Amino acid sequence: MTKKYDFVAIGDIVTDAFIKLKEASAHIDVDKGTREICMRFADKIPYEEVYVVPAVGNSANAAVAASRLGLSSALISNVGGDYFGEECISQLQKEKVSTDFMVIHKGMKTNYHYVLWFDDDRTILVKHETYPYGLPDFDDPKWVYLSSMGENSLPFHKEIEGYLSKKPDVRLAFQPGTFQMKFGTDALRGIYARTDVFFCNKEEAQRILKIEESDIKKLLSSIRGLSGTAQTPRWPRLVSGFRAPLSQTSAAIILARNAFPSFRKSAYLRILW
Amino acid sequence: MVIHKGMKTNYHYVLWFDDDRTILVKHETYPYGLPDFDDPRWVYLSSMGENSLPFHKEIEGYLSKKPDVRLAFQPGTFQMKFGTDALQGIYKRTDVFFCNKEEAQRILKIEESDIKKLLSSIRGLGPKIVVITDGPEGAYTFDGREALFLRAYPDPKPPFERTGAGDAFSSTFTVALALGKDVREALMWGPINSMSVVQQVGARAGLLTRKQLGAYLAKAPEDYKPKMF
Repeated sequence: MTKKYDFVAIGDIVTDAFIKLKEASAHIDVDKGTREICMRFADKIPYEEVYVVPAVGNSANAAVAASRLGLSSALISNVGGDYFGEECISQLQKEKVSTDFMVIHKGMKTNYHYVLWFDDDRTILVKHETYPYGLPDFDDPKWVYLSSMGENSLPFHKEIEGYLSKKPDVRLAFQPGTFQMKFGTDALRGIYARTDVFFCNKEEAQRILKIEESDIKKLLSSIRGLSGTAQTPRWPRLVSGFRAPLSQTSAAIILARNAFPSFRKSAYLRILW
Repeated sequence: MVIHKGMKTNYHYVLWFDDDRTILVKHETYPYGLPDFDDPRWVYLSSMGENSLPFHKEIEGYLSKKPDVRLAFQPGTFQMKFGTDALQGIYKRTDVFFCNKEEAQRILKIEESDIKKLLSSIRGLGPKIVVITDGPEGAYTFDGREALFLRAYPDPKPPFERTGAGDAFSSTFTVALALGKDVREALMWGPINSMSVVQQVGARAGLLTRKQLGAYLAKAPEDYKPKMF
């Protein structure tokens, strides 16, 4: 049984362990031109504290933001048949994000990232499990929010594109993650063309467009140019310059406006900028 | 086992690179205390958090009332930091003591690299049998009568992950004593479980059953025999 959702997010869900290192136990080495975190090899290094945060990742965060702001929200994602997967699912349930479209893969692990937190910055040890991605039968939500997935997800993006081409009334928000940026704008042409609202930060915009340009107006219109001419212009396409954590929230604000049309357009544009 | 609601479970993060590892450690500050646990034949004492010094006094008190309970002691980071003065009573009461060569130097606060001197200095602190391991180089024991050396048991294939090699050695040596074996035989048991543990990930997966251990013992090379040194 499926029901009509306002907001369905698609993308990897992960547990983050934030490991706060003690000042004396590590240092940053800048000798090689890049900043590298250094600790004594083959030794025991006391850490200060650990904060384990289940059920995060761009799309999971977006689904929670939407739910807290009053939309009926769901997440299409994958976990392993392990303790951390159960924890992710129960956390989503606590946040009133529907887990109807979550797939539990027995014998596989749940994505788990280790964040080495030193001073006020962090180095993240990441791994995306290679889930067999696939779209469930999830009815037609008002909005789909597409973000970070593993490197084996390119065929899945074709499937999403196919779904969206059959559902012209479903709006698409796209906030590309690492691998979606690596796939490139050619491979994801259909997704870019179908996107109603697109989010990235300034450095990501340069990376996506493969240019050094720093003029924001040019970055905005170049990314807007990726929509192509195949389709007639849809609902106003917006490009946000916010940093990633904010953009998930601002996307939810736009969508809240969409669900509650009494929001004035100028009001949400101010919020966005 | 005591479950402390509202507290976290100790969780270490092992950064595994090549065949060695850097461990990010944190011991939660549990309120330590001895339960009523009857009188076992052996107590094996090892790694605890930095707030455990009073608990060590409590253990010492228990052991002083139970002369028949034998004690194996393999000090962890904080037990080494407490120092041999603070843990004087524990050292005196120890039947068999384990550490590696670098730990022996740290415990004694000396640079000495002569194993015989390290063995007898630690024995001077109280333990009846002292065992010092030296990784792939082998292991040494001294029980007041003879000083013995035994090479490492040959690796069937290159070590995969070294966590727990020393722990496996020490616990297996202690078990051999508990089974009535003498020091020479216990010394031959320890390295076999070390060899087995480093073939797999983590300190526990490779631990052998007595039958498996016996099979390795039976096919040990000719020179796998304790030698006086």
